[in-house]
Amino acid sequence: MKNNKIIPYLYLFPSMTIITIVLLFPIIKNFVDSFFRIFGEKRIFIGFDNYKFLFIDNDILYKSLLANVKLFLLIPLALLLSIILSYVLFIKVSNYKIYQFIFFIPVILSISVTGIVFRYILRFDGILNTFLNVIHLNFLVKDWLGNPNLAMFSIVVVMLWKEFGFGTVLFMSQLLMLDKNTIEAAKIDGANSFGVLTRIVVPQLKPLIKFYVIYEFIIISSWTFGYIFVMTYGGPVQSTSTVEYSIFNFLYSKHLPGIASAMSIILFLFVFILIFMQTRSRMKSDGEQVL
Amino acid sequence: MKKISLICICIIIALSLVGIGVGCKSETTKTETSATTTAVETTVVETTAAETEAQPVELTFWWWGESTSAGMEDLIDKAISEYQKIHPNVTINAVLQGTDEVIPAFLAAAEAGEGPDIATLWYGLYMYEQIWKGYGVPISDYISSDETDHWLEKGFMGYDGKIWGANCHIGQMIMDYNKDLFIQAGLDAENPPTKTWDDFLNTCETLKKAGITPYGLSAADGWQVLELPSFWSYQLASIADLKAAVTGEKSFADASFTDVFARFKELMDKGYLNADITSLNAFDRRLNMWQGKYAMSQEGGTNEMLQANKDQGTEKFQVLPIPQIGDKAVDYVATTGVSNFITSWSKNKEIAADFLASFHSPEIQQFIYDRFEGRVMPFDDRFDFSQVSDPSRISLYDKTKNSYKNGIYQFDYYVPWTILEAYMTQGQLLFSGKDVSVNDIGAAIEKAAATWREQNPEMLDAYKKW
Repeated sequence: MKNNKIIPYLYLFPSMTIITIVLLFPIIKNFVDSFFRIFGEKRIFIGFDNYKFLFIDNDILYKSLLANVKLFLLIPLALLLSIILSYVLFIKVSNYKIYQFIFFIPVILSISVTGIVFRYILRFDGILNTFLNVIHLNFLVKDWLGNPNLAMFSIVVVMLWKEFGFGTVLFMSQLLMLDKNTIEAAKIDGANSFGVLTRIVVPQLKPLIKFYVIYEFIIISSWTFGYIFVMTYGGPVQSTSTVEYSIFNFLYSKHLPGIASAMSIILFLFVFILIFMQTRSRMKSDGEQVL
Repeated sequence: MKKISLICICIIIALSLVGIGVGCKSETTKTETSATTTAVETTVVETTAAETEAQPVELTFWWWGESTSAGMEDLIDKAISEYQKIHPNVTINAVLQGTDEVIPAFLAAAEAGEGPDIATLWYGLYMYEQIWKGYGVPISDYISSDETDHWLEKGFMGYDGKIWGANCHIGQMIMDYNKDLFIQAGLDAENPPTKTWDDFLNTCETLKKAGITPYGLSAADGWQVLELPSFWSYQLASIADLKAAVTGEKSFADASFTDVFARFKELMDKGYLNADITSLNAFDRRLNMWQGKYAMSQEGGTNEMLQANKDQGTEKFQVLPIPQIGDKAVDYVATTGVSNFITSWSKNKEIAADFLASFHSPEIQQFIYDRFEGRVMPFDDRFDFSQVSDPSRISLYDKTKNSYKNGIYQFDYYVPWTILEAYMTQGQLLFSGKDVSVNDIGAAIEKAAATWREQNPEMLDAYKKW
C-alpha cells in the first residue's frame, strides 16, 4: 500500500528534477552570487555588502523601485480600458471580431518595434508634437521622452497601447459566455448600461480581472526592459531606470555581477510579495483557505 | 505525499547548492594567483603555426564597426581571403556584432569560457577591464616586436610591458560645420571664426540671428555628453590628470573637468543649442546635422561626416577647428578605435595572433586607404603616407599620429562606466533645463568616482598600473 503511494512520485521525479533545476537553479545561483564580489574568475565573499550598498549606501534601488511603482499606474488604466472596450463591443457592435483583431494587433507587435515607432512619435520634433502644433494646441507640446518628469508616464501610455488589446480579448471571451437573458432582465428592471456594467458584467468578470491584475503586475515588474532600452535607455536622469534596467546596467556596463545578483533577488522578492499579497487578498475575499 | 515531494525538492536544491559551492571554491582557487593575470594559464592543447600547415584550423572572429563605418565588411572579407590564400587550411568565421550586443555577448562567452578566438571591444578600458579579469592573452607573446613596432596603436594596446590587442579600424572625433549655413549667415565659410571661445560665441550669435540653430547636440543616450570632454576638458587637463581623477589622486570636481559643463550651460542659456537635446540620441542628431538643421556639431568619427558629403555629392560638411580655451594650441584629435584581442580560451592563439597581425600588411593597409577613399586612416607606419595629397587630410592624419604618439584617445576609453554614467546623467540634468550648478555636477561625478573605487578594488589596482 505504501509503495503504491510512492510510485506516482517516482514517475514524476525526473520531470520534477528538470523543472526544479531549470527554475530554481538560476535563483539559487543568483542568491549565492549576491554575497560575492566577482572579478572575472575571482570571487571574494563579502557577506551582505552588496545588499548594504543597495539599501544603505546608494539610492539607485529606491529610484528604480520608484520607477517600477510609477508603472503600476498602467494596471487600473489597462483594466478600465479593456473592460469598457470589451463591454462596448459586446453590447453595441455586431461584427466585433474585426475590432478584436484590430485591438489585438499591438499585442503581437514586438516590443522593439513598438518602442522604436513610439520613440519617433514622441520625440520633441516627432509626429505627436507636429500634430499638436497643426491643430493649434501648442501649449500641449512637450518633450515627452526627454523630460524626466514625463518620460515614465509616456512609457506607461505606450505600454497601455500595447497591453489593452490582450485585456479586451480576454474579457470579451468571458462576456461571450454570459447569459444574455440576465442582462435583458436587468434592462427590463430599469438598469441602464452603466448599471449593467457595474452590477452584472464586472462581478462576472471578477476571476479574470484578478488574473489580469497579476499578469500586469508581472509584466510591469519583470518585462519592461525592452521598452526602456529602446525608448529612453533608462534616462533622462535615470527617471526611467527600472529595477530590471538597473540590473542590466550593473551587470553589463558596470561589470558588478554581485550587485546585479543582489538586485535580482530583491526584485524577485518584491514581485513574489506583491503576488502573494494579491493572491492572499483574493483568496480571503473568495472565502478560500488563506495560505 | 506532500512531504515526499517536499523532500525531493529539498534534495534537488541541496544538490544545486553543493554544485554551486564546489564551483565557487574551484573558481576562487584558480584565481588566487593574481588579480591581474598577465597570461592566463590554460590547459587546452594549443595549435602552433607549424601545426597549422598540417591540420585544418577553424577560427571564430567577432568583429564590430559596420554600423559606424560602412564598408568595414569589405575590409574584413578582404583580410580573411588574403589570409586564407596563404593558409588554405585555416577557416575564419567572421561574426558581425551589433553595437548593443558587443559587451553582453562577450561577457556571456567569458562566463561560459568558450566563444570567439578573437573578440572585439573598443579601445581602452572596454578591453582592459576584460584583460584584467583574465579573459585575454597578449598578442605580443606570439608576434615579434619587429612587427608590432610598426603599429600605430601599440602604445594604447600596451599594458604591463605587453601588447594585448590589434586594430582593424581607427577614427577621429571631430567638431564639424555646415558651410552652406555659414554662408547663409554671412560668416567666413572657408576659415570658420571659431579660434577662441569668444570667437565661437560670436559665431553662434551671428548664426542665431540668421535663424539658424548654431550647435546641435543630443543626450538621450548620453554618448554625446561623453564626447564633450574630449574636445574641451582635454585642453585643461592632461590624460595623466584624467587617470589621476579616476584613481582618486585628483578630483572630477576640479574646475578643469567641470569647465565643460559651465561652457555648455552658457551656450544653452544663450539659446545656441537645439531645444530637444534630451529627446535625441546620437544617431537622430547626426541625421539632423546632415539635413542642415544645425550649423555646427560634433561627430564620433570623421568617416560619418565624409560619407555624408559623398552621399550628398557636396563638400559642405567640414572639420571645424576646436576653439582654444586653455594655454595650449589644440594640435590633437581624440582618436577612436576597435581592439581585437585573443581570448584566453582560444585553442589557436598563435594563428589568431598571426591573422590579427595581417591587418597591418601592406596590402590590407592600402586596401583600407583605397576602399574608404582616405576617410579611414591606415594605422601602420610602413604605409606610404606620401600618396595622401589633400592638405586637410594630411593635417588630420598628422594630428592623429600625434595623438597616437601621446596617447590621446576619446574620453570614455579612460573612464569606468560608473563615472561615465554620472557624466551622462548630469549632462541630461543640465540639458533638460533643470536648475543645477556646475559645482553640484562636479560633486555628483566625484561621488560616483568614489563609489567606483570602493566597489572595484581589484580593478582600481590594475588601473593604477595602467
